[in-house]
Amino acid sequence: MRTLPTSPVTEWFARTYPEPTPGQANAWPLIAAGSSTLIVSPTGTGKTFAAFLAVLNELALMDQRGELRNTIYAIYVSPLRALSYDLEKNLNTPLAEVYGEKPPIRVGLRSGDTTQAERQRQHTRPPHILLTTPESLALLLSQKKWLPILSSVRWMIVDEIHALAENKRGAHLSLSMERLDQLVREGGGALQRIGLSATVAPLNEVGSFLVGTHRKCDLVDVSTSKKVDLRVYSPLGEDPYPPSGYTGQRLIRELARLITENRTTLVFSNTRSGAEAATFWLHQALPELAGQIECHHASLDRDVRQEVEDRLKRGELRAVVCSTSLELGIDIGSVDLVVMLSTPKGVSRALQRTGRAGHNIKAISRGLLMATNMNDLVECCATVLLARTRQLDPVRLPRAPLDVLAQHIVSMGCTHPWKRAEALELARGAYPYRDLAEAEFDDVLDYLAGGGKALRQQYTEVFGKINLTDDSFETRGGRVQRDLLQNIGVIPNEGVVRVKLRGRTLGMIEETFVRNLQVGDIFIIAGRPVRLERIGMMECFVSRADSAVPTVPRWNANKMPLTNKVAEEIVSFRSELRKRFEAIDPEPVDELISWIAHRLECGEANAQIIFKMYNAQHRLSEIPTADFLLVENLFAQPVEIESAMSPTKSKRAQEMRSRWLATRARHYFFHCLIGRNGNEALSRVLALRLSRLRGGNAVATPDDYGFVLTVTPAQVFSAEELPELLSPENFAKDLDESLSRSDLLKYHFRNAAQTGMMVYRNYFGEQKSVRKLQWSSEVIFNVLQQYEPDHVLLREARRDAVHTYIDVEGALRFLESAASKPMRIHAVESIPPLSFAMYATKIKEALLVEDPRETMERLFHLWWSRIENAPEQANMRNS
Amino acid sequence: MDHSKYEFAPGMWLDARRALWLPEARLLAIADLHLGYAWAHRHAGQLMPITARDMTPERLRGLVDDYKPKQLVLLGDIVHRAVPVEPVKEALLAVLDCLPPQLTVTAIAGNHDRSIERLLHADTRFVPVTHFSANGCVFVHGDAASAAVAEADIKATKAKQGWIVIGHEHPSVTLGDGVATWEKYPCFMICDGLLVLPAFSQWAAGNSRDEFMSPLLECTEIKSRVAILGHRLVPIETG
Repeated sequence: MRTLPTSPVTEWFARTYPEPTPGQANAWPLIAAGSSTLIVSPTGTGKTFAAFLAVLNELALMDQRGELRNTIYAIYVSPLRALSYDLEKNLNTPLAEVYGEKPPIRVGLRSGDTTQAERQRQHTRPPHILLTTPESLALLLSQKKWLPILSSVRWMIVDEIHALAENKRGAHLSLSMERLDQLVREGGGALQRIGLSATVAPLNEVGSFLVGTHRKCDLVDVSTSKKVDLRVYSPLGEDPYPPSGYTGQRLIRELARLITENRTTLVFSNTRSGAEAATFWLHQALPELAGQIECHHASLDRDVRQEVEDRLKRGELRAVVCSTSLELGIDIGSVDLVVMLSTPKGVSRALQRTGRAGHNIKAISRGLLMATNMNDLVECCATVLLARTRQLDPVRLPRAPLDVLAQHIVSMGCTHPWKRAEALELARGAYPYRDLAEAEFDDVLDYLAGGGKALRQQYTEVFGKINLTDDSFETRGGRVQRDLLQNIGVIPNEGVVRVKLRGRTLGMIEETFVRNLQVGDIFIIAGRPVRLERIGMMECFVSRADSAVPTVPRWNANKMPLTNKVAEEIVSFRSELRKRFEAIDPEPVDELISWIAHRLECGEANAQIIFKMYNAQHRLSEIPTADFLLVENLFAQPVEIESAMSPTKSKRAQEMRSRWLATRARHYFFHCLIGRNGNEALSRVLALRLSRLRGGNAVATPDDYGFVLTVTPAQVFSAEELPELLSPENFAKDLDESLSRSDLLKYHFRNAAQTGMMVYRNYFGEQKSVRKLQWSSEVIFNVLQQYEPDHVLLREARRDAVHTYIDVEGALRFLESAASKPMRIHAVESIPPLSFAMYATKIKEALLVEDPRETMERLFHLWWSRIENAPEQANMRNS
Repeated sequence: MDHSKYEFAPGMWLDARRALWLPEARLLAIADLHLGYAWAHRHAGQLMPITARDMTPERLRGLVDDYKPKQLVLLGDIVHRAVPVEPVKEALLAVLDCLPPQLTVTAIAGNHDRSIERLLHADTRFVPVTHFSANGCVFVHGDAASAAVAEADIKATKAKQGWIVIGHEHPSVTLGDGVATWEKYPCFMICDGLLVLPAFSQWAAGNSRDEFMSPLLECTEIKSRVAILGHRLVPIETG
């Protein structure tokens, strides 16, 4: 406490805690001295007080000196409302202990949930510390009446900043921070920024994001202070391929055992459907604990989630199975063990999740990765290896998102007119916008003013959002401002459908999922199986189906890609292993197994299974290494596997599909260990180039290890054509073209159109009805592609799609190195082990790369010939 | 074989340019023009692109020149919203002005453009009605309100085995090749005694699902869809 001047607050702390944590001790002097600081520390290491004690202390001293006015001094922002709720309690408790019932330092919460009455009160009697969200902060900055209050702010605290920096919400916040900074400076003050982050790399990127371009940020990194014990478990035993999907019975048995042996276990799944499925199976395996094992994910209704969090905090639950929803630092009490089902796709993530275990700084965080199939096992081992040496995957910040900028410009113009140059300079102060080109800035202004100058001259009124002159802009009044205030933010509204059980909302599921369901189908939500009874406009009605087995195992949820480091690790393992298989004097099997165990640090049992898999690969095909490109082609159609994988459709539909695929489709398995995003890029360009050579479209199924290209017989190609198909030349251009009609681009356009004020969220989102289906963002997309292909929102959609899902550099690097290596097409009769996981992935997208006129031509001939020949084979999709 | 035209019932012809032709009455019908779509949205505060050229006048002119009809029926939702903005008025006038003066235009009001007459106060070419009977058919937009008003005429037409012709649904169908291609195309929908015209508007995305808005489609079965692939028609039987 020597580092902070004495006040009732420091006295309280000294009474309550034996000593400050390393993070606190290092942070306080920096914060007290006025430095902007990034504090990196895992959960349970006193992060709250590391950031807040110096602030509370200063406020207490101001109070003592009679300087505390009715205004805001500190703003705290976090990505989750739940974090703010937690923090409110964690601040009010000590304040009450120091000051009693009515402390002079007030803490207030403001989010979408805050009532109108409370908001009014906050304006008349502002809290000294405001806990809020990025969206609410932007809202405040857009209202003139709040500006005097905001200009007194001294501290800006951003929690879980790593989770914000990586996406557009962070970009949105960074612009708000610059606006706040300017406001404070104009009032004669200075804004000090404090960031709280989990372990990520590179830290200086996150630091720059926090403080803005060209500003200094101090760093307090105590992330190594908490000990982590991370291990890999494989329940695979003898059989490398567990029965169906990922919930192998052995895995569940082991998981159940761990749950009974620990007080509280937190189980992470990578997908929401995985969390649901695991919860379901655990209920079956541990019926006596079923009431204490719950599911938690973002699609569940808030009340349902809140209940789970509260029960977890109170220690009433033995296990919670969640998706990424509990990764961030919401207070969930003490957890003894963190289990991750299947690889967490990234070293940072593995460490962050493990960090949720062990509730104080002295405890060791125990984490366990459970592999669910062969590839998974190798990946888990590689992840743990890298985690032990803290080799983290880099965080990637979005670059100058234009839709977010558009929203901020409209928001800025609400309070007063701005000079162009001034607004541009402010935007560039935000780190994601540091390289914003003036021409792009002007394009956004033009768009917001209603269209290009020529257009504005043609019509008297173009209904723009801003009035733009040669050197300044101001937002138009009335409706424009009202609409803005209701639509601030970047969280897009997916087409979602509410799931209702007897009047109670269980959660939301994607509309695309519901569309594929039939009445009577059984799916899992909130850990329980339900039967679909009726589909309404924006909701569906279900009934309980407790003892039924789900007929619908999956729905689309975000899948995280493999990181480069782990992929590299696996590639070198494969290359080394192959050398040993092919050595002139091959070593005996058990020596080889021992080598595997040592190389991957995975133990003899796991090594045995890994050996079996690679041995099978070696016999059926060959082991792909860094020295050549392996492509396998499969002509024999495994019809049984196909039909086994889509149990949801009616038998007739299944048969039809199988028959079609058996007679028509050909599969090529490309082995490129460049992560899913790299394979997204590769597969699209390949499909485009194949289409140029042979016509038609192709289905690509990329995953982290490569991709499957499914083509018609007319599109079959040979090894001689590979170099041309995989040439690095014109790659970026071809990628652009292949994306131009893709679902991926349309999806991102829809989001950009909402954030960028072209259409309102509740137009394409929640209020979706049949009528709205007729006017979809797809139409606007097509119109823009044709008439304004360089529109700022299309540009943004392209950038966003590529940034999030496509790794151009990785793909290009791969092609450049592959260009000098041999490329082989190895014909196989059944699917080799390393291709099986690719084949089993259900995330397929039909890549529309063919010229639409040619498609029309083809389909016309196809359908007319069908009418003349065999009417019952007509393949029309009706829903 | 000329695939751009298709006689789905005696004396009832479909044209791939999204029109219905009744040669006996020399009657041409199109539906759901949604003129001024982008401007209507701009007026409502949404920054839709307004640079796209609306080809409706040219397309309609092409049909009129080919068929030389005596009557033209505009089957509802002629403008997207009757907002009192110049460009919307201009779009409507552009369509009317491209038609030969001796052609009788019957404008049927849809749910989107109920107050359309406000746009063109004194223009006598254009007096919207709720429904219209000709050649044994009854033309009505198809939304609940207009279906209610036209109930008697609909009943009468049904009794005489006539056809009910509606718009409103923007029907479309998704066709594929079974491997990697699925595309949505506008279509005509043929039911028992009921024909649904595709939307004439370039802006219509199309509804290819089995949920419909019109009460007139509630108890009826869809016999077939006639898909429009460019300038050609392909009938698709419904299983």
